[in-house]
This record gives sequence, C-alpha cells and structure tokens, in this order.
Amino acid sequence: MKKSKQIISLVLALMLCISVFAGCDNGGTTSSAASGGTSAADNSSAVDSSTGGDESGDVTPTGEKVDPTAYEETMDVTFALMTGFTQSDSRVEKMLEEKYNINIDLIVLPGWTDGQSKINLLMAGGDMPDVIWWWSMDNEFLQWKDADLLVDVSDYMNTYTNIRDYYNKMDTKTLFYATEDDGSIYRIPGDVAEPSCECLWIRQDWLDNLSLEVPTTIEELEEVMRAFTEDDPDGNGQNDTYGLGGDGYDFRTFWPWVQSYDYAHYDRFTVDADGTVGYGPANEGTKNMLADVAELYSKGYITPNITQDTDRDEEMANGGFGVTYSWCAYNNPDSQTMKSFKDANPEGNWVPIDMVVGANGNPQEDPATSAAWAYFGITTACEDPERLYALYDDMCGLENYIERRYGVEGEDYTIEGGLYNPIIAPESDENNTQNIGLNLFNNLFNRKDEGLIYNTPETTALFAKSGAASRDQAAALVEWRNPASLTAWVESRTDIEDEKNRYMWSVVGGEESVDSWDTYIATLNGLGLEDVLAEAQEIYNTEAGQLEEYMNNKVNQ
Amino acid sequence: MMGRKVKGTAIQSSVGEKIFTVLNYTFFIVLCLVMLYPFWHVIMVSLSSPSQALRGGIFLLPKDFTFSTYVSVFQSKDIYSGFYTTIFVSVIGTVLGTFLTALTAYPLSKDRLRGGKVLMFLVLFTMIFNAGMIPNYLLIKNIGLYDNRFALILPLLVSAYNCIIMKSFFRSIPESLEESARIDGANDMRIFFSIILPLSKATIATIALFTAVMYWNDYLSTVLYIQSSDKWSLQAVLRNMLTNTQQAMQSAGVNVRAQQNTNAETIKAANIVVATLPILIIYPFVQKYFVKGVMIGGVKG
Amino acid sequence: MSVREKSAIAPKNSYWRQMGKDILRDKWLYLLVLPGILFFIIFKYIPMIDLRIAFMNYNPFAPDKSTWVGFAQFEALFTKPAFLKVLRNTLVISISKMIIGFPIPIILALLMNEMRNIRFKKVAQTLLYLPYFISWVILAGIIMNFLDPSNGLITGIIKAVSGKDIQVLTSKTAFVPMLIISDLYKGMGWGTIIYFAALSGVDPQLYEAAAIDGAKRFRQLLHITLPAIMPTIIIMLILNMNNILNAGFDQIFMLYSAPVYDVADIIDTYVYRIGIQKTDYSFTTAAGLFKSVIALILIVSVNFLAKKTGNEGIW
Repeated sequence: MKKSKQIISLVLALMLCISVFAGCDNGGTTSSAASGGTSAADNSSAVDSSTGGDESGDVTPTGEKVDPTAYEETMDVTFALMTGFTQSDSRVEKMLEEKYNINIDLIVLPGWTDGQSKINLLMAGGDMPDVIWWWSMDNEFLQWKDADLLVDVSDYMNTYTNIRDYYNKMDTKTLFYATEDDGSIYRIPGDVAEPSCECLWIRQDWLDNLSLEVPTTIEELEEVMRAFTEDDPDGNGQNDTYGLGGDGYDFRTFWPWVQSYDYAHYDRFTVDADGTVGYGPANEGTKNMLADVAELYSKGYITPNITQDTDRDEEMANGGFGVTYSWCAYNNPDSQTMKSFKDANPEGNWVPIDMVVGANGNPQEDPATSAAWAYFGITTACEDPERLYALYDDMCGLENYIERRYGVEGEDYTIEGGLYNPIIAPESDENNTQNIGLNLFNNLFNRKDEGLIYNTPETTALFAKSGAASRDQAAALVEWRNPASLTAWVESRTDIEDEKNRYMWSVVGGEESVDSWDTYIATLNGLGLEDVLAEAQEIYNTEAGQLEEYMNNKVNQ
Repeated sequence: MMGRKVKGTAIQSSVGEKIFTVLNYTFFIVLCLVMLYPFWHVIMVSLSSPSQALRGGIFLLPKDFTFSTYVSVFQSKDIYSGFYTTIFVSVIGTVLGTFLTALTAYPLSKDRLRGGKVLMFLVLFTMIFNAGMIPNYLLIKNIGLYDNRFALILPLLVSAYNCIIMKSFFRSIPESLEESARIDGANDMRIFFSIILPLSKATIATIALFTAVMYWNDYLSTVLYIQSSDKWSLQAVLRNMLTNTQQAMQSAGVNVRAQQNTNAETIKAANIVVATLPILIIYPFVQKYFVKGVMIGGVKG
Repeated sequence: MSVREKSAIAPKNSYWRQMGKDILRDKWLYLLVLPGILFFIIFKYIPMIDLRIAFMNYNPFAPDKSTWVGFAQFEALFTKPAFLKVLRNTLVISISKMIIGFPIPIILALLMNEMRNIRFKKVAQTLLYLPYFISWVILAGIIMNFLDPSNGLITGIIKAVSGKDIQVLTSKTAFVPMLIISDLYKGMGWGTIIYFAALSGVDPQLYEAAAIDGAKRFRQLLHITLPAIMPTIIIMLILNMNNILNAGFDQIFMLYSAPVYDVADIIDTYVYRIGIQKTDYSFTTAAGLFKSVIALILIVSVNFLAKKTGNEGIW
C-alpha cells in the first residue's frame, strides 16, 4: 500500500507540473486588456464616431436602422449583472434569445461586497463581457473610457429611441449626466431613482390614543415625539416607547430637521441662489440641524440606538417608535416589512403624512439625483454594438419591458380593477424554482412610469407627491457630471468625510456639542476643504454652463 | 487510554484536586453553552417564520416554528451546485494539499539538508508577502484555469503556515527511530513513507483539518477565478445572500430603495446552517488522532 | 608534499566535494521537497513580481500606460493625516489581542487535558470551536443585539454592575476591549486544536514515572507537559508575528462607526475607505507591502530571540 501511494503521489505531482507548464504564458503577468476583444468593427451602416453635438450641431442618425428581430445569424452576448433574475436558460431568457436570435450568457457578479472588485477584474483581464454593468465606479469609468474599453452609443441612442425617450420623458437631466463633454455616451443609465422615494410616516393609532392632531410644523412634530415618548401611547403601562426611530447611523432619518434649514445637508455639496458652492456638512444650516437633533436625542425622544448601524427594515418591523422618515414603498400592501410589523402589532397603523414646515417655511422631501446610480455599457469586446443596442432598446419598449419584468398577462399576473395582481411575483420562490426568469436584467434599465405596475395607485401617487415636493431642495444640491473629475475632492474626501461623520454623530450622541463647531470647521479646512471648495466652484460653473448648452442644443434629446 | 487508567489507580486524589476537578468541569460547561449560543441563534431563526425573523432579537426558541424555509432552500439550484463545488474542491484539496505539505515539510525538518535554511526562508517569505488580487487573477488566466474548479484548489494547495507547523512536529520525532531503519538499508523516501508518516497521525490530522476548513470557508477564490454561476463555492453563494444591499448603496451615497421585496432573513439563516453543519461534523472523526501516546504506540507496535 | 601542505590545499576542494556528497546522500529528500517548491514558485513567487506596482502608478486597464514613481505611493500613505493614528490603533489592538489571546488557548488546552471523562472532553472540544465558523457578518449582528442601548442583554448587565449607561459600540473606552473579548470568544476554541495535537505527543510513561515519584498534578504540568509543548508554543508565537499589523479587518469593519474611528480605525479599514473613493491598486499594494515588511522584521527578530533563549526557531 505504501509503494502504490508513493507512485500515485509522484505521478500526481508530475501531472501538476505538466499541466501548469502546458498552459503557461511566460511573462504575461500584466497582460493588458487592450489585447482582448475585437474593436467595435461596425458593419454595414458605417457609424462614424463624430459626435453630432457641438461640431456639426446636427444629430442625424447615420445609415439605415437595423431590425433586431430580423437577423439570420445568431450572436453570442454576455451580460454581467448582479440583481434581478440570475439563473440561466429561464423562460424569459429563452424568449429573448428566440426573438432576437441571440445566445445569452449571464455572468453573475458575486454580491454587493465583492461585486465591484469582480467588475474590475472582468474589465482588466482581457476577456470582457459584451455588456458590463456597474454602480458608483466613477473613477474606473474614466479609466475604461480612456483605455477605449467602452463603445460610444450616442448615435445608436438617437436611432433606436425607446431608452432615450423614456429618460427624457422622466427627467431630461438624466441623459445630460450620462453624456460626455463632446456629446458621446459611453454609459447608459441603468437605474434612476424616483425623484423622491421617502416620506414622513406616523403612527396614526398612537395619535388617536393620545387624541393628537397630525403635526404640520416642526414644533408640533417635536411635541408629538415628546408625547410618544412620555405619555405611553400604546397604553401598556410601560415606559418603552419613543418618538423618532428608523435607520440607524444614517442622517436621512433626521430629514425633517435637515430640510428645515436652508442649505443644510449631511453629505452633499450645496449651491445657493447666487451660484456659490458650499459643502453641506460645513454650512450654518447643518449646525442648526445638529443642535436640534442633539437636543431631541438627549431628551430621549429618539431611539437610543439611532447612532448605531441598525437595519431599517428590522427596526420598522420591531416597532417601538411613532415617527419615521422612510420608504414610500412601505405603502404597498405586499411590503414585507409592514407585514412583519402588523403581525407583531395588529392595531398598529402607519400612515404617510406631508412633510412638516420647518424654520425655512418650505417643507421639502429628500431628493434623489437626476443621474443614474447604476450604469451599463457596451464594451469593445462586442462584435456588433449596433445590433446589440438595437435589440436592447427594443427590449425596453413599454410592452416588451413589462413582459421581461412581470411576465405575460394572464399567465404570470392579472390586472384586476387597475391593480397588479401577481400569480407569480418577480421575487417569489416560484420564479426561481420554475426558472421563469421574471425581472431578468433588473437595473439594466428600469421603468418607473406605467411600466412599474406593481405599485398600487396610492403608492404611485405618494411617490409623485414626494417627488414634486422635493424639487426646491434638489435645486439647492449640486450634482456632478462625474465626481471623479474633482481631483482635490477625491484626494481629501476620505479624511474630510471621516471627520465630518465623527463630529456629526458625536454631536447627536452628546459626546460633543455644537459649541465646538468652529473647531470642527477649522479641522475640515486643515484637511483641505478650502481647496476642495475652490475646485468645486470652478467645476460647477463649467458644468452649469454645459447643462444650459445641452438643454438648448438638445443633443441626445 | 491505558496510561490514564494506570495513573488513576496509582494516586489518591487530594481534596484540592477534587475541588479543581469540579471547578474545571463547571467552567467548561458554562463556556460551552456560551460558545454554542450564536450557532443556536442562527438555527432558531432558520426555524422561525419569516415575519418573526425580520424583527430580530434574541432567539432561544423558534418563533412560529416552521420548516418551510428549509424546503425553499433545498429547492434552490444554487445550494446544490455550491455543495458540489465545495465538496469537490475540499476533498481533493485536502488530500492533495496535506500530502504535498508533508512532502515539503519533512526534508526541511532535517538539519543536514544543504540549503535547507534557504528553502525554509523561501517558504516563510510566501506567508508574509502577498501580491494581491490582480496578479493572482492574471496568473490563473494565463495558465488557462479561469472558470475551472481547479482554480479553486491549486493556488491554495500548500500554505507556508501549515508547512512550518508540520516541520516543527517532524522535528520532534527522535532520530533514533530513523537510525534503526537506516541500518536496515532504508533510504529517506522509504523512511518517510513507512516510519515518519505513520507516527505523525496527529499532525497530519491537524493539518488536514486546517486545510479542509480553509477550503470549505473560502469564498474569495470564487470571486477571483470563477465566472459561471454553477461553479460558485458554497460560501460564495452564502455571502451573496448575506451582504446588505442598502448598506452598499448607502456607502455609494445612493438614495434608492432596492426593488427586491423579499424577506430573506430566514433563508439567510437556513443557508448558514446548511453550509456550516457538514464541516462541524468532521471534527469528531479527527479527534481520535489526538489521543495521547499514539506516537509511542506506533513505535512499540 | 608534506602533510601540512596537503591539508592546506585539501579544505577548499573537500568543501565542494563534501557538499556534493551531502546532496547526493540526500537526493531523496530533494526529490520530496521538489513539488512543493515548484508550487511555491508558480503560485506565489510569480505573482509576487507584481508587487512592483507598489512603485508605479498602475493602471489595470491600460498597463502600458503605468509609470514608475519610486516611493511616491509610500510617501502618499505615510503623509496621510490619519496614518499615524491608524498605525497606532493597529498596533494597540493587535498587540492587546495577542497578549490576551495567545495564552488563553494554551491554558484551555491544558485544562481540558486534565479531564478524565473522554466523552465530555470530545463534546466540549467541538462546542468550543463553534464560534470560529460563524462569520463576523453574523456575529456582529448578534453582538450589536446584545449591546443595544435600550434592551441589549449586555448593556443591561453593565448597567447593573456599574450603574452607568455605557453605549459600548460608540464608546471610545469600551469599544476596543469589546473587540478583544469578542475576538477571543470567536477564536479561542479553534486555537486549542494545535495544542491538543501537541499534547497527544507527550509520552504517558513520563507521567507514570513522575506519579510514582510522588509528583502531584500541578508539578507534572509544570515539568512534563509544558516543556513538551514548548516548541509548539514558540512556533505559534513566531507565526503570530505575521499578523502584527492585521488587527482584524472583518471584525472591525462590521462593528465600527465614525465615533470610534479614533481608537478602532486600523490600517486596513482606512485603506479600504480610501479605496472606495478611488480604486488605486498601487496604493493598496504599497500599504500591503508596508505591512509585510514590518511583519518580516518582527518574525526575524522573534525567531532570533527564540534561538538565543535555547528554543527552536523556524529556521
């Protein structure tokens, strides 16, 4: 037995060596991505990459339109994606494969923690997928663009217009932020948040128990919070309730006080009526906001764990507080969080209310950015970018989108009385076990218009109301075309934000007070804030001009 | 266990020793219960209903007991392919890896080996210096092992840490045992296979356990080297479920509610139980090698 | 030629001849060690060539455009305002963890060694190492639960014992001790395994002989058991030096927040946050290289000390 073990092991070791050397490429350890993939060889309709916008002032689509459903040859397409349906060969996938005569191959990214690393590896390895999806990676995007890894789709976008028209319908600025200075587009918005997706919620049953009116001003809200904390609103004889609760370690929870003061913000850059750029966490308004919140916290009207990184849904399901600023989507009857809450608190009743009026007399909801938070792009590894764009755009038309996302009416869902009634919901187990494929390519284009059929009409109205009530605030917050272009900010950002977070949360928790505000500002300046603001002002001025020009010239519109 | 019994009858326990024994056992009982708790908690959550599980808190018993989560988990394809990949990788990796580690450690344990110190230092160096993600990724691509299960095995096969531990254990084997075999005409290789290995059962079991656990818990290799979803390791499948979408978006400054409306708390818990239980079962099999006197017994026998 | 002259020439020749003889004598050993060394060369040393990107401005998407910058990346790291602070935190946390966490598994292993009841011992061993298998993602959630300001179990205990309302997760004084204790909790069971293996190599006859000579349990421990596992202890100590600048990224990342950055932000978490803003492989590689160099220096030093005190080192 010993001898044969010996022999086997030597053979194995030998095989190991051979297999390794057989495939070994010497010296190619930093092989460049540029060697991978054929460059975008355009077929018949020779798309010339001159950008239409500034130079010729004229955006006529070049060549003839192709019909993506009429191709004879099958094309292999690889998609890198994270969310949505990820099993291969689902019914929806096969439907798409047949319709457009393609072979879909899905590369599933390994989750939110490692996903961006994987995206980088895919782009750097010389073996890129045809469609790459990403979120946030502004710096890398610039590098990919410079390394010619992405295809300019601006001409395609103006030829096949479902995607373009949808975004322009919802918010013209979305495509502005996706467009480069010269009018070319290398990143296609994948998902844009609703203009505002949060609103103020309150426990109506607690209000009723204590015979209180729905608060309309900040002062009234604070009084309600006091009552919720001290007057035993659930009538159980125990001192276990609080006023405000919600997502811990997240300043969005304090939104009513943030919006109460002009130019207060916990994170973003602000711009005032004169066009002067400021840094939210360093503005006077923020100081006032902090003072308010710190006082409320020290009085005990806020759940003590608000300074810790708790889970929003878990907190909501547990209850114990009466006011929160959270998702409009909780209004849907199928909201899992609300269901959990109701199970534990059968009499509990959360209702959405209007934002309360603060010190500045202009109640505003928390606005989202016009820019997408997730993009996708066609890489230069794709054999036929025009065909790919054409078919993808076709997929994004209203009916096709609904079919891809929700399935076939009658089979996967029904519409009863205008309400979406799922037979098989996109997030359900059946979608997985039966490998149907609903919600394939989620976040590689999501419609929030009539295409979003699963919100109830009330919820849709709630979203719309919140959206409308956030526009003034949105105008006061700066959005950058590409944050990576602010080089001073990129350098100092980690340190500035560390100090900002440390100070702001320490004030809320009571370890520091707003009296040390000036020291805090001095520290920020010491970390480079002044240089950052100077650069930000410059870039803001440039981009404001660009935005105006874009709106006037209607490039990509 | 012969040694123990002999010893026990030879001495009478003093009062002090009796007290010590009682305290010792009590201490360990308490400690074990405390150690058990997190795993217990996860099991209880996995057996609770989803809406109770979302509320969080301390679980000593399931709330709204239900098996439905496990039914769901075993209907998902991911778990099966994850198991297949991880078992494949762990078994092959452990056998090959432990063997290769022993092969490498034994010569290094001999002072007489010329250049032994240099080689030892070379090995040690790899434990301290690590090139990072991209170079390893590119190496695997260039070898042609990308998206291949062997890419989950090979790069981790031998760890310098295990080598050093094994070498230290080999050194504790007396030379006299080898001398007698050498007189009989055996060469180093025969001595290694016929004498050293059988005497090192505890060491080999330990390193095998470490290696098996390392492979079982490894998710980073999947992120780096695997593309097809059906080749993901079990831990990668698990980690994919555990990471919080909201947190990720928050750190990106994104104010959007993730469209998913599932409550995956119980599924996450069940996945953890299913992924961790198998490796826990291995230890009892390894324990029998940690028996006192196994080495001496081997010599006498 | 006289004998003296012969022996003057002889040493030089015989040095090489002796070496050749030794290598030939040990040929089987060289064969045995060959596959492993090959493995290390291929899978460890070849990628290590790319440690050079720490001295460049590396662009992974266009490597040809990368430029050499010498020590600039290291300078960038060392001149970061928070660098000294995170370095200090890293050392404080990891040394504290070592001082407390190193002896405990040894003590536990020795205590368990004294148990007569084999079944209890086996069960206890398995239960003890359970937390090792629970990832920090889960464990952190459980810890945060226990430390919840209003209804956490441990918060309540602390309040009962000391009368104070301490929020451990945001307290600069309590956070690091919590890190150390929870890390100990997670790892001490697993850490005993290596010592069990070592203990099983102790000759039981030594105990019998000592018992006959009248030595009681404690003396046996001191004079037989400890010396027998001392080589293992020394090796583990030296190997632990490799982790001197790894204060536990996974654990800290899941538990920390801005109010405790001052005491809990370590090199790895800081570099991670920088990486989120600007993925720069050169920078992160430089940080890693820095850590490795420090670890190397420490390992060599402790190894040297170990040998000086008469113990076996790594080489």
